[in-house]
Amino acid sequence: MALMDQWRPRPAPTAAATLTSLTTISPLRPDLEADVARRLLASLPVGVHSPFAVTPRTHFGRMQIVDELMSDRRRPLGGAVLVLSADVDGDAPSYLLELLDAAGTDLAPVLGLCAGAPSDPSAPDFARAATRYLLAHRVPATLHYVNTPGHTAVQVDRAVARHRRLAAFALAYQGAEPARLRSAFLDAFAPEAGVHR
Amino acid sequence: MANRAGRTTGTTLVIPLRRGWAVWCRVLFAASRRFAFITAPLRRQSFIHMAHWSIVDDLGGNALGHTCLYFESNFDASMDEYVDVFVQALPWHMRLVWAGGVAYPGLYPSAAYRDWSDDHGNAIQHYYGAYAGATTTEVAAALRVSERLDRFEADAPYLDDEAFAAGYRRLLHEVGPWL
Repeated sequence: MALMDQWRPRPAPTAAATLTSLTTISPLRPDLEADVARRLLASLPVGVHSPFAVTPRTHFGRMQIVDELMSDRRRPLGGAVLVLSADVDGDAPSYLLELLDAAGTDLAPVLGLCAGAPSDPSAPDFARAATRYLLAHRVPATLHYVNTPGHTAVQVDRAVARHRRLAAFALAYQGAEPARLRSAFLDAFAPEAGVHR
Repeated sequence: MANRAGRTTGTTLVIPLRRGWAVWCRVLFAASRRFAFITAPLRRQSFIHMAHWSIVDDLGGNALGHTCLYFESNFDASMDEYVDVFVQALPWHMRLVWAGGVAYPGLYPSAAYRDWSDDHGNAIQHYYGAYAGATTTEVAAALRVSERLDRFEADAPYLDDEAFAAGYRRLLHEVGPWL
C-alpha cells in the first residue's frame, strides 16, 4: 500500500504548508570588486542576529558572490553577481517585504552592491522597491526537495525543542512515583499550552 | 566556515550541461514533482533538509555559454560525507542528474567525482539556518514525537496520578524509537 501511495500523483500542497525556494541573482555594480562585496557579506551578523532571523518564516538563507563559472576550465563571468537565496514559509513577495522591512538596515548595504538597486533604508518605499528589484532578478526553481514537508520553520523549531526536552525528562524521571512524575511533567510541558492543574 | 551553520552545511553548485541534457532534466524534475517515489530514496537517507534545482542560461544577465544546472542544498555533515553518502547509497539518482555535466568524471572513484563537484562549488559568505543545530533525522523524529506529545499534553492535566503514569508509559513506548 505504501509503495502504491508513492506512485500516486501528489495532491497540490495546501496554502498552510507551502514552502517556497526563493533564489535571486542580481548583477553587482560594475565599479565594485567582487572581494569587496564578499567582505561585506562576511561581516554581517550571524546566527540569531542574521538578517534572515528577523522573520520566523526563514528556514535557511544564504548570500554569496559568484564571479566565475567552472566548465572544462574556470573562467570569469561577464560580471560578478549577488546570490540572495532562502527557503521560506509562504510566498516570496510577502516574505521579501517582511525581510526587507525588518532588516533594512543590514540589507540596504547589500542591495547597494547591486547595479540599479535601491539602497537607502530610510526611503519610505525602500522595502517595496527592494522587493520589486529582487523579484525582477528571481530565478525560478525547477524542482525543490524538502525532507519533512508541510511544517513551518516555527513548527520545526518548536518540535526540536520539545523533542530534546522530552528526551531529557524521560532520563531524569526514570522510575519516579506517579504523583511526582505528573507534577514534574506538568511543570515542564503544560505551561506552554496554558493548561492549569 | 561561512557555509556552515550549526550542524548544517550549505552548498551552491553551478554545473554547465552537455547539449540536450537540460531537456532530460526538465522531464526528470517534472516527474519528480509529480511522483513521490522518485525522491523517496532521498527521504530515506534523511541527510538533506532542503534542496532546489534550477535550469539557467544566464546568471544575473551574464550569458553562460551553456545551459547550467544551478543547485542549492542544505544538509548534515561535510561536503565530503555528503558526496560519499550519495555516491554509495543513490548512485543511479546521482547519475540521472549529474551525468550530463560537462567533464563529468563518473561516480567512481568517488574522489574524482568529489573533486569535480568541489570545482563547481561556490563559497557562501553568509549562511543561516533557523534550526541548524538539529540534523535532518532529528527534525523528522522531533516532528513525529511532537504530534504525540501534543495529544498527551492536552490530556495530562485532567488525569489522576495513576492514569497519568500509565499514559506517560504509553507515550514513551510510542515515541521511544525517535527519542
